[in-house]
Amino acid sequence: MIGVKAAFERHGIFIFLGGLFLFSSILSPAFLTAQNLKNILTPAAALGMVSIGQTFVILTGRGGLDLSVASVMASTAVMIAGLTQGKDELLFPVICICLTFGIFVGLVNGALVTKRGIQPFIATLGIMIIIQGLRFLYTRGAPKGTYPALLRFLGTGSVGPIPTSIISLAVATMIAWIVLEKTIYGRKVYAVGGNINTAALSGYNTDGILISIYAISGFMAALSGIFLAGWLGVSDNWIGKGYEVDSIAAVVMGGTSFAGGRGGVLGSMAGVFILMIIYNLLLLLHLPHQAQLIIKGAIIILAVSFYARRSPH
Amino acid sequence: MQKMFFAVVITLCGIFVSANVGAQGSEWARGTLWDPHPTKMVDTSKYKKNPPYTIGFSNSDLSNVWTVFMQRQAQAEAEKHPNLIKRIFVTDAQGKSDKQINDIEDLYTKGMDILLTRANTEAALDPIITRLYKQGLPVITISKGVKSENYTCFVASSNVTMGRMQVVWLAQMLKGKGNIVVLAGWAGAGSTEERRIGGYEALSQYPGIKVLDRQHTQYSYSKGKEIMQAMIQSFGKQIEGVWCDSGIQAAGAIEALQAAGIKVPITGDPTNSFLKRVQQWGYPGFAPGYPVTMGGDAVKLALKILQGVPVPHTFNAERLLFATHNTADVKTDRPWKDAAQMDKPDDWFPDHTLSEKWLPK
Repeated sequence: MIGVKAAFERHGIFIFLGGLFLFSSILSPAFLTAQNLKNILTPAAALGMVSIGQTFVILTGRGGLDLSVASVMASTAVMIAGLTQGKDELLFPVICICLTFGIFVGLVNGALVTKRGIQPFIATLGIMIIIQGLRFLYTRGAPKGTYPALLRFLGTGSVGPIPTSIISLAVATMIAWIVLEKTIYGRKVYAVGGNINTAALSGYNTDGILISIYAISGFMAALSGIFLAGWLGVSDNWIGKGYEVDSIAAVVMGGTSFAGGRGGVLGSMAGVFILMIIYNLLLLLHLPHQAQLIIKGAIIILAVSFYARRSPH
Repeated sequence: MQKMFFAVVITLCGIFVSANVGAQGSEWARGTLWDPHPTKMVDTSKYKKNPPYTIGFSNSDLSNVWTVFMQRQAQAEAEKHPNLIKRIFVTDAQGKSDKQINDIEDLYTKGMDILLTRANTEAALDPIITRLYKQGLPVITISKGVKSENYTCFVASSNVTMGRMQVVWLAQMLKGKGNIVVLAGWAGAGSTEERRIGGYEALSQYPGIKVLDRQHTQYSYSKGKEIMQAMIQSFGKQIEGVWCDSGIQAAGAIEALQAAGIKVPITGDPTNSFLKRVQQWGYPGFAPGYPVTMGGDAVKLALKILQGVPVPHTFNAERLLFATHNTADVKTDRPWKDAAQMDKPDDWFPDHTLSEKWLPK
């Protein structure tokens, strides 16, 4: 019996995802078609990538989260359009600039949290606002340039029947999973999240680890912005709006606890797909926007309560 | 020789139009000229004073391209009158009502002769504007007014007209028969609601037009694309027309339509992202403007007020129409290919009248 219960606790999110998938297929005939699944999966890459970074940050516990991700995504999008001016040959160097920018933002977030002891919520909120200001300064409200064709391929193209963005998300997830589960660094991340004092006593450079985690989140946010821009094709000051909240919801639904030290990227991916499926299904059912918001909120709560570990006290 | 001269003139005109398709030279907006009601003119003799004037311009935000262009239209117009206007102070409230109230207080302390403002919200800015107006300061509100009638002049562009025209064009393109989908803006926003009212009025006259689905896109490119994709999944080739109430979601929607190979008439507004995609992929499209030139109009009206010339209580700004195809009641003002500026960014409004110097760079 304990085996079943434990399995349920461990894999609840995947059971929920499977159930939702089945339910959606029955409820809407348009759901289970190759094109619709592609429609769900392609933009899922962007939310997935930002959620990988968010998973690392939330794993650190003690209120760890990154609110600056959406601002990084939008900044990446306007930088790509502005700096490449639509030229394919400039795409690679500009992507490098964007990723470096993401890492830099993460390093600042991490430094504020560790060296100044600022709550992650406030630190990343402040940085989010600052980046937004810098972006408006850069675009003066009117983003310039266009996207290179190569970027559109990253966002909307396919290799055989599989969208490039999904291949990229699968690779990113695999790397993140290996880092967290199979490397010493991953063990340190869990140790810092589990109990930072114990980790410090064990001789880990906890500040260094925390800062590197925020840098990973910034990097993944920049990467996510690149894919979202490629998918969308329009240079806009507000690309990625709402992704900070959606990524946190996906990660927490996926079983990564705000208490820290527990969870992982596979659960987060299940959370991402749940969010994408709900949104798609509600559209296919032609429900009005107001009902969509209510149902989305209810399902997030339901999903978490469905398999939440009962705490002993 | 004469022929050549004309050819040169025509080419130059062409270059001029393609660089700048705004309503230059027009004195009377059609909305005002054709208004069947007597215009409620405001007596401004009590505001008459000697130049030079100081103008205060409190903008609610600069977070999107429309307000950037609108503000620049105001600044560019002010620059044209160096003998009349000493200064134009411009403030940006960054989308915060409390900051805008402070901005206006500051402008008042600095000593402005007239206040131009785009209110962040109708309710929050009403008390301060009412107070200053009652103290004798002339006030012009632009695009978004305040709750009360306590202003001198409201420079407006009707959202109801915009929605009505979008539906009339779409219905006439479909010859009064067909299935359409609707991609609206913000659930609960004033502009979205007004465009819906105008559009549904017109829709009631076309019983052969059936609305398959209506969704809100929050004026977001990505939501426009995602929602259009889902609608295509549900209805596929049944979709014969798309009514978007703005160009933003229309640009996202057209990406999805093009990927699915569905070429149907689609409406939006003259946001360059929409104009460019319609031009590039050869869609039937319609884009009634929501004029950025309202900024310049406000400065022109400010000069009238300060010189004691009467002004209308509501000034309906000139709206340009862009259509790939003319219908019985909706005719384009400029060829679509001149409006769609392929070398300009997606976020851009070609219906401006700005000189090179004032364009966002």
